[in-house]
Amino acid sequence: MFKSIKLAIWMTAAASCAWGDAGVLIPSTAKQPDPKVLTLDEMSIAVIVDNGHAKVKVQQIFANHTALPIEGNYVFALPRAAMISDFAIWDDATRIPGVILERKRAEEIYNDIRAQALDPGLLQMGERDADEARRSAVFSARVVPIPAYGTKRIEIEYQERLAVEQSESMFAVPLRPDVYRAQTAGRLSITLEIKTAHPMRDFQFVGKAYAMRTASRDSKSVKASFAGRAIALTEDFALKYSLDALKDDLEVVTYRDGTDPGFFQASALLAMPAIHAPLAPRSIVALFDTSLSMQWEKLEREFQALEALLRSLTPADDFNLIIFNDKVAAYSPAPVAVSPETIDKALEFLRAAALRGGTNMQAALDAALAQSMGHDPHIVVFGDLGATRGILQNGKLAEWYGAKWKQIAETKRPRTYVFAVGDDANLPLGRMLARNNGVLEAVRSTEPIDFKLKAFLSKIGRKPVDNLRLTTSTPTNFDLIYPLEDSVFPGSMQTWVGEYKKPAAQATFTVQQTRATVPLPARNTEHEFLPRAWAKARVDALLDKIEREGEDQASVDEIIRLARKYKFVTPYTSFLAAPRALLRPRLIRPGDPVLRVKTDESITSVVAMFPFGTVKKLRYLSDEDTWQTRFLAPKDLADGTYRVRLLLRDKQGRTYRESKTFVIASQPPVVKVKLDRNQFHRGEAVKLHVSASDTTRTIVARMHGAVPVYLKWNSGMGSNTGELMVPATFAAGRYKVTVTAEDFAHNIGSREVEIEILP
Amino acid sequence: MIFGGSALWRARVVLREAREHVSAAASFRFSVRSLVPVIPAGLESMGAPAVFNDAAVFEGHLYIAGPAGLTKYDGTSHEGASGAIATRYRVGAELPPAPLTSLAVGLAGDSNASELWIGTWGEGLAAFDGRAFRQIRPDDARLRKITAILPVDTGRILIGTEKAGVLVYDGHVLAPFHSSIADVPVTALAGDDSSLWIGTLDRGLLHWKAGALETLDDVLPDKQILSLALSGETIYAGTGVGIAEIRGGKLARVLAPGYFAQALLAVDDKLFMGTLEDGMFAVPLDAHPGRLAQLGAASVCPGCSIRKILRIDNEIYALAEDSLWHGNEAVIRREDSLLADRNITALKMDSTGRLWIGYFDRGLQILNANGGRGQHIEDDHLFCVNRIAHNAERGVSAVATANGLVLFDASSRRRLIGQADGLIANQVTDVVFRPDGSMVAATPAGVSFIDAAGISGIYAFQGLVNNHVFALASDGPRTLAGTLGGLSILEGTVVRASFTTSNSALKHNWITAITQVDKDFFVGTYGAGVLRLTDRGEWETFDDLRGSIEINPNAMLVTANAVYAGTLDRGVAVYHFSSGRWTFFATGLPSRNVAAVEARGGVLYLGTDNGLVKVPETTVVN
Repeated sequence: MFKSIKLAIWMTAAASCAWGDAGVLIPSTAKQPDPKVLTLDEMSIAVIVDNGHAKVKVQQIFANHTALPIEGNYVFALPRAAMISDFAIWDDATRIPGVILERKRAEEIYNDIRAQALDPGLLQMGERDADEARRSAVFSARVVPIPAYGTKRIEIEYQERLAVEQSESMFAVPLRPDVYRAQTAGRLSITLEIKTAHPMRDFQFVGKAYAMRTASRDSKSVKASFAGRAIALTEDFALKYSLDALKDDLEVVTYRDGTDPGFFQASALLAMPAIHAPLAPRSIVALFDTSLSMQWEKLEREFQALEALLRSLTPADDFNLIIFNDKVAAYSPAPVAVSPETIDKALEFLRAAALRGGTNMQAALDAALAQSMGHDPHIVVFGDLGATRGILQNGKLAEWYGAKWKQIAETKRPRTYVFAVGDDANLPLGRMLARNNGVLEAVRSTEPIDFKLKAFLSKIGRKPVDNLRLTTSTPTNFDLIYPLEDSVFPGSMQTWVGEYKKPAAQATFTVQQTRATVPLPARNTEHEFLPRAWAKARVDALLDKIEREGEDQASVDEIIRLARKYKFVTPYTSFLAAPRALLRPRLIRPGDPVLRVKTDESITSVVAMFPFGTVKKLRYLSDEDTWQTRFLAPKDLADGTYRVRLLLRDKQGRTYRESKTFVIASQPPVVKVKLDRNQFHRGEAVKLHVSASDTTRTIVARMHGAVPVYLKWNSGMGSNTGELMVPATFAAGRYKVTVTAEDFAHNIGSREVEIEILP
Repeated sequence: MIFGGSALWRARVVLREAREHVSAAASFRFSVRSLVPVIPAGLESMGAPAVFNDAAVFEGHLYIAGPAGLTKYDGTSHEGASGAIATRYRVGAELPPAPLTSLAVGLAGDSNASELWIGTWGEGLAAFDGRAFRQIRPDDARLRKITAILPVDTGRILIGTEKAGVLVYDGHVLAPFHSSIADVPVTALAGDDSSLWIGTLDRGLLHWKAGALETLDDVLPDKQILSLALSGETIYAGTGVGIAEIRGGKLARVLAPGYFAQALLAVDDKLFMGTLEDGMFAVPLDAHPGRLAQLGAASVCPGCSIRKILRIDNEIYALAEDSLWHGNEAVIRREDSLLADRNITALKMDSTGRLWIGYFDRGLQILNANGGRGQHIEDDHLFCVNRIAHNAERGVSAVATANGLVLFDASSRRRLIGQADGLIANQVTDVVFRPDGSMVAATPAGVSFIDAAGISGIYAFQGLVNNHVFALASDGPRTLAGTLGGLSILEGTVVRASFTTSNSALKHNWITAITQVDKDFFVGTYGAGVLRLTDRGEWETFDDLRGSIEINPNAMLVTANAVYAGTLDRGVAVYHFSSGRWTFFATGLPSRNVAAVEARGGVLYLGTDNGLVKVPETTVVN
């Protein structure tokens, strides 16, 4: 009876663990898409990339193959930088669209609709009390009813801005399954249109699953499409292209619907140097957050980023490592020369450091500024930037830091680079810190960090283009101009958006020595993304102001007005999706063997019905606003996934049923490693094939002195694969490769294999 | 209430009469034995509150069954009886050591007198003829968890089981009712053996009639049937979200939608419904029974969990968890008890002689030093208790709970430490005091160190062999951390070594309990019993402790005489220092699942999931 005490049990809502799956409708009685119950009959994806702004519209029709009306859970994992701009469910011939509302009002309506036994959807951002809700990029909705032998049509639209790094841009619609099995679309159509004022080259589609047919293509546009039947969605739809960055280029596009104001976007592509000058010696002080808030995935990513930074250094550099939580500890009193030994010791120092509650960002930054740094000093901050000790308010902390930073002689002022980690990372602070001659990059708790980390590291030691300003020939005709990048490097693009007050025959824009002269038309609606892009930049600026100076009603009112007009979610607004669609605001946190449930305020009673027959009433914990019970799993309950049913009753006596899964994993992941050979030369890749238990979440291979590699599922190989590079500096001899698998309950399983490095 | 205080009988296994062993292919092997109460010398039950599961009238007396046992009351109704307890029959003493789940009165086989049939959760069936008990115990453990009993007029006892379908016992043979329902998880039975209704856990309602089996599942409001009531040709199936009325094999309507209908009684064209948390209702059976809100307030015991509805002498009675109701009157209430709950998870005697008792989900009780009821504390943080530690030098006690670590100073002032204070997780599975007064807390997310400098933590990132830590032991500057994936040895906050089955002679990675014996450690596992880790770092197994033995978390204790390890289903394992041998002690225990062990002054306290007993240590080790 007491098995559960020692079981590794965690509870997952289907929606909460979907990171890569897009547009999946799962029968409420299943944990995976079940084509016997629901099929994806049609899917259309329309992509328009207009001068770096992508608008993606997805329409899906699902068919119910049962004789009963059923419920489904719709999950769409948005790309990190994307903002949902529309969502609608069709009820027969009626399209029921979502709306943006002031957050408080949305919550009132949400509760009101729930009281009518309908399920509204609610998408919010910035919630700090629910892990699930915090992952605002996962949109999940309950779709009910899906009529017997009938269909249900769902539409979702999102927008994202594409970054330009080293003159390259990449774009993907995430279709590849991560958590769920691949769906098959009965009919799939994809249309793509790219428009760019900057000349484009090396355009290519990534992947082979969707054989796009190109209708037209030149240096400033691409039109392509795909149509097929019975298409398995096994890959993302992805493309990449380069912008011709041989010389600086400035392009301006405009929008005006006939009324004031008009909008413009000026994008300056900065030329890539023909040959990168060798990096001068750098002095790096890395700040590493070891507070409790970094535990689990965030810490792993933070460590991965730090290790990549340290191993990217050269013997000409020096470095120090300062770890911080509520206390601050340095690896060395002063920066030390880079060598494999000093890096290993620094990482060991970090690995041995216990986590502590509390984060004193101020003390950490102070300690970093006090370091005696050599040439080309950089402070590189890793963490979620959530201060709980010292100065807490973002604006005041940034102001204090800026003042201290300016006390340092100009030639010795360290560039302040920030690598923010986590869905809840304090990006406003990161942005303010990075304004001290640095760069901000941010990764979510779960997304792969390779691309962003590579771009981030490539900028350390390279100089951003300073004092990049946009000027106009008639400044009084322009207002509220915002740059969209905090810093830009050669090969990347700075973009400004702004308003123009009155149409004009022509206006000249200048960035550095580059000019562009364009008309400011009375009416031109070709670039329809522009008003929304400007509004988003305006809202970001207002949020930044609130961070610095505190909340004022005028700013809040304007944020709400702009968000509602242009349809995007802010900390002050929510997206209320179509009635009868329920975002799952309920939370089940990992527990062992404790079941926790977060419910709406209206719920007055929760009863859990476990699959082994136990029925437990949950207790309401007012401090945590959570329902909880403890349960015992029978001894003979085998490891696996089980479903617990929740009966919830509201104040009016209405009952609702929810079904959640929990996994019993009494065994850590079992890892098996295969190598195609055991002897390698320096500089070669060790190809790893690893199988691990089904519940495994991450697999990482490490070899002392080498950059660790995170293995990924390779459906073609039927195993997890990755390549571990043997450093060129390794001496000949025998080495151990340790492969560690971690499951969702944070159980660890590992296996060691030995390889030989040949002379 | 303390039972059996004067009993000084020697422990003896009760197996006097093994009358039959049946081995026919179409039947199940079982044994029948008379139950003779044998109580180990000096063993006392420390009164835990009764919980009522089922009731029946037999030979003019009301009997109520529950986890603690069977209670016989004077008379059968509030008018004709005092409601006084006539006799108690305890599980582990007069009855098998397993909670009682169900009662029914009927004849089996060629017997000429009805008997009271008693279902147990793990020990099969018991029968009471008014004077003595006998146990019908299937050899197959799957058949021993009984969920329902239905005696029928043909002299057969139909038995619903947790996972093994419906069994039939005719006084001689125990057999499956039919192979087509051999693996059905049964929750309720109604009808007779020619037309049998079977409520199931996840397959809806089954109807066996004329050799054919019909299933109603998707049409029901829910597939988990909680209760059944038969009225002529109509069957009512209670579910968590209402009652399905079935006529002619089809769903006619859903009554009381939204109600958790866990007990039903249909009588004289009336339907009574007992709910999980709203008491008992009379459900209208007119053409428009109405929605939930129109049922109004409960007619009996609002707010109660009604387990059974009975008709006695043409009167309707509702059996709640702790009382029996007739109308608005509680005609029987359970007696006051010493303990606040039956499910014990932690025990600790403090330096002033007070016994601290941690409950599974009912908080903490601190008995007075004189054995009085003392103080019961239960709140949003202190309700799921895992472990209690006491620092005699400082008079400080630490209670590890699922919602944080609760510290009590010598004046019983409380302080909660949770994740917000720096603990690596709120769920604390174990806690130990170090010699310097600092503490180490185990959690499913690693280990936290609590000292004057604050709280710090480590987990697998820092080298701990696994994040799920279940047991700790402190040895000077060292801390042993037993985890789901092996044992790590820490010096300060640094992991110095880790043992797993792949790098040592450890037999099972899942470490649940650790206790120091001189320089060695006895390490309990969940599946491989207890091993010894010597001061040389070598693992030793015990020849007489083989097979799959699960040691409960932190249910280990060492005294001058022995090491005690509470097991999941074999009582307490005892390592005798005098002989270097292991034995098991289970006789007289209310459950074989021993989750907590404590000793003081030659008395051993054994906490189980069904009550607490104390017994002289000499009774156990001699």
